[in-house]
Amino acid sequence: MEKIKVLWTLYHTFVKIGGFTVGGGYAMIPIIQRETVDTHKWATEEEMTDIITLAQSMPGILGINAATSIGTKVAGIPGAVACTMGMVSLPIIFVLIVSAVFEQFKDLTAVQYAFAGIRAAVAALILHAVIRLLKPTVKDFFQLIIFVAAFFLVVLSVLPMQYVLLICAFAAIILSIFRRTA
Amino acid sequence: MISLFTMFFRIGLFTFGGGYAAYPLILDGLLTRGWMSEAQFADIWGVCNMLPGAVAVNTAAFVGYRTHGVSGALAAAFGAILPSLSLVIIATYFIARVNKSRILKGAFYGLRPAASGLIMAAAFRMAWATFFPKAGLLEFAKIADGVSIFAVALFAAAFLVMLKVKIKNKPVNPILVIIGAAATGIVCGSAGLL
Repeated sequence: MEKIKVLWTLYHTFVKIGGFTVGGGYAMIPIIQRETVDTHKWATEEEMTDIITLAQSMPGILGINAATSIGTKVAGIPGAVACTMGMVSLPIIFVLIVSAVFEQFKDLTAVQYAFAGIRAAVAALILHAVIRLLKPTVKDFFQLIIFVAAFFLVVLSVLPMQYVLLICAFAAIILSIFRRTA
Repeated sequence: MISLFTMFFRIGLFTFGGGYAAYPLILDGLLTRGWMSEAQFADIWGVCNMLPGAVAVNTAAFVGYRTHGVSGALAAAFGAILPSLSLVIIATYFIARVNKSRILKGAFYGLRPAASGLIMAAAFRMAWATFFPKAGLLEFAKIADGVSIFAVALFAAAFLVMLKVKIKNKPVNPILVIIGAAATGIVCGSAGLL
């Protein structure tokens, strides 16, 4: 009984965090921090730093990864599932509603015009995301080569993206082994 | 449906560096399966940015719904979160060791710039498609057939706003940029400028 109570608290805490934060990722961190460290005392400030580092180094979404890690720490695997489900429950419901409505309106002329604008803006947002990522991801000459190579391999459709990622990971592992021994 | 789940599972496994890293991967998966065009996907991405939650998971659910209904939405969304869910659980149990593993560190050292390169490629393709609606990707000869001045101007404006404008010392919320772009599109379209 006690365990179910804990899981429920985890779940509804993260429903609140996941359902009402627009923008995802970094926007969620301060709110997660407040709920986890201050309100529920599930982790200390220092443990929270470790959790964020871990969440950043794993694939996936920063905010959801942090939630999963906190859940694991508090209540093991069931806790991880409770927190993760909490983070995505409301957003998925919102998406289902919007996508059902979207079908009805997407052919209106005004909506078509709106999307002509949105497409240009999305291209700019993606470019801006890259500019922000350059500083933390391209720190030396080797990383610059990887960045440029990945760009051209994909634009010229030489290789499927997942192979590009795998090759870059292997190249980096081999290089870092050589650097240690040299 | 299984194809949808495995597609998003793989995307979830390879998404490093935030939600935008998923954009090129989802687009690639959709194009190879012929489920959606580049423009349709950009529309969905724009809408999902305005909804609460992580844009990558939202987009997965939206795409799943459009291609396979409600169960498709769930399959895609859970496919996208399952890899990181399992990896984060494992990593939490070994929290100290993850930061020390040489191989993992090495892999991330190469994956981070590669992910940036892929996002850059997606931005390039998207910009190309909106700027030169009549030319296919890298068809330089057809550029002269039609350049959308509206798209070029709006792209430049949106990029400058994101880069330079600060509200209370914070960058502008992307949602505002999308809403502004939608409004500009409606005004210019109604005025016959598109």
